[in-house]
Amino acid sequence: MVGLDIDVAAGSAINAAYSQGLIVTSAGPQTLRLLPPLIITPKEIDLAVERLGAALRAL
Amino acid sequence: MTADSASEMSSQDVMSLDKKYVLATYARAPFVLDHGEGCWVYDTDGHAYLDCVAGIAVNALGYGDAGLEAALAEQASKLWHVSNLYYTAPQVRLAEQLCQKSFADKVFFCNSGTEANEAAFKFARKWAGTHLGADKHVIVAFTGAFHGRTFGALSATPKEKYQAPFRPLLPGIQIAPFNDLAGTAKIMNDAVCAVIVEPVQGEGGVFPADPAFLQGVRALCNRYNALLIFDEVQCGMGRTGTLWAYEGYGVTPDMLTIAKPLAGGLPMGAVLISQRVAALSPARRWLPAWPRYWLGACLIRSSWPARPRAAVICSTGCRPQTCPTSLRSERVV
Repeated sequence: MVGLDIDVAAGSAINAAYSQGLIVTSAGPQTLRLLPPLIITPKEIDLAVERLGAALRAL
Repeated sequence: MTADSASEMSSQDVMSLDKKYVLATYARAPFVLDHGEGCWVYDTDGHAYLDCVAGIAVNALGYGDAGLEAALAEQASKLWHVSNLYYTAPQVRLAEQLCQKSFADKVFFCNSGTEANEAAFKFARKWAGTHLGADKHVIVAFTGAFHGRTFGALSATPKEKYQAPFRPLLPGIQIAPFNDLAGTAKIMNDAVCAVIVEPVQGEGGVFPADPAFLQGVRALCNRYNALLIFDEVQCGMGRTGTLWAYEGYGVTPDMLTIAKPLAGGLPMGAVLISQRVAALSPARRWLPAWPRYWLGACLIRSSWPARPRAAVICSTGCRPQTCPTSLRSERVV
């Protein structure tokens, strides 16, 4: 379980992540929360981080 | 509309029908999910999504797990539901496994995390009322906590937005400051029968408890003869790198509530209970008559032998200790 405080509304970041093919959720108005399946691979984690970065940069 | 035509609905049709017929208690994502495989889900328009929510920590083994599918198919051909009036082997075997893999001596099964917390509150009040008198009935919960949306659990979830429309709530709940031992000590007294805390607060913003805080809360519970309940509905079953979050803290509760990933996606919850509390049996006069998700018991029972503890947690080699962006409960600020 990972929480990230961000300086924009979590909802807009979540929608931006959807556009990048990534599903994340929130835990508060400006906090993202990631709880992937426990079978996630290191490569998939890298991809998730990459896509999340792209989503946040697009905002 | 027939099942056949339903499968051919466009995503816009699905969203329109949802708006028309389904009570809007959640804001939904702007796509319609169709199927999944591994850590990926696919919408009806063919888009793939890497799923880092997993049904909010429910789908711990992802989608299309062959072991779970085989167990479901096998059990579905035998029995789907069995009332609490009858014995079944899978349920007792699951209970045995849960006890053998934890501090617990007994297990209570239910259908969800909020029910598990309701049950834990009842067990605590019954325990205190039996041994120590009816005045010892206060349950202490913490700021930022989320324990569920049924009335008792909601009463211990001090979020104005969740509570305001539904007052009056359950009396006898006190809220203490999370990760503030001195502040918590001021709330504690002889009327407290139980303290409930999430070792890692999930909904509240992903805040791990400080080890010294949990150790101090344990000591306060001992001092005031109150039960310590850990709510590991979201942070338990491998999510923090150990099977149970409490193992990482070295603090043992008297009751542990679990649900979400327990049956890999079927609704199922449980309370793991120490002998100290379980000694109150026979409990049949006051236990709620919730159906226990027996099919789920079959599922998780079937999936565990092939996935021993370490494999469930780290089946991909993605050990929390070695992968900084992985599954460890951490907060990146």
